[in-house]
Amino acid sequence: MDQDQFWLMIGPLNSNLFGFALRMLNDRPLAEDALQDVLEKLWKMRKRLDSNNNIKSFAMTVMKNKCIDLIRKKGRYIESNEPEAYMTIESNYEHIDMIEQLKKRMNLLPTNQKLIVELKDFQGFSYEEIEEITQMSVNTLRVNLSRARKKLTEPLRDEWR
Amino acid sequence: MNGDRLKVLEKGFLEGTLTPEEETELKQLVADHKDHHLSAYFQWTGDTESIEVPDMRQRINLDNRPSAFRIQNLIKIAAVVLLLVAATWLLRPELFKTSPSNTYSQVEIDKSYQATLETLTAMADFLNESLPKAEECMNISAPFKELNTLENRETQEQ
Repeated sequence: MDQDQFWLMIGPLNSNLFGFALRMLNDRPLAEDALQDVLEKLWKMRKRLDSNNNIKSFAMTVMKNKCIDLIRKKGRYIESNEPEAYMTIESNYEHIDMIEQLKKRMNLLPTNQKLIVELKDFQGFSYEEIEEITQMSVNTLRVNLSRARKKLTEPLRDEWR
Repeated sequence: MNGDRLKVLEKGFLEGTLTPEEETELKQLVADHKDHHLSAYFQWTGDTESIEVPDMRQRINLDNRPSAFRIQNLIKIAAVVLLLVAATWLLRPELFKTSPSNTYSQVEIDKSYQATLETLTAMADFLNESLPKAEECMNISAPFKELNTLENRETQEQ
């Protein structure tokens, strides 16, 4: 595989990979570095890309590992059993945009839940694909996704009433 | 009817049990009800356009050669090592002085052997030449000569 073929294959995934990194890391320069590292790694693994029939899933697995490493290095990994800090966000929806509220709540989710929301709702992966990427069982994925969606959207419903 | 279906789908969505088709249906229903609280959520998760993606093709070098970044790092490491060696050389010069070696090369051994042989030959020649002369000198030496003469006289007088 030459460079042109590589970019033809990976180019369409760039926005998915970068969006994933940006939302997971919440830091643009760090997300750009992560994307660069992941692309260089994928270039080195280009022989495996040729034989892989789900390139998006494969590339996202590499990006997920990179992001989790960076999150751990920065000491920003949030365990599931930590106090639910998201509850402390002020519900002042009259003055703050709802999407901004969602972003704030997303950043306070436990890292695993954030990862699952990212893969399911932003990237549109199926449970089976997320299972392959995260190595979590479908049941665990469902439970965590349900918790995360409730944490993110229920305050909005309360506000709309 | 639509409202009931929306509630069912919303419940399924929160529990994570919807099929992809049901999820699409929910999104369509929510899009019809702009004031629904999930509207903001779907708007947020569906927005893939607003993120400005950096042009990585211009930024990274995918050659098989080492990247400029790695070469720069290697140069930095080499400079640091050189600096350390220079500082050690200035501060602890004794570390760089080599002690004389205890081993000798074959050439040195041959030279030394030759020199020894030459010395021995010279000494042997000197002895060969000087010993007869020495004996001769002893025979004609004045004190001994006088002593001989004296002895001869004494014997004659007797």
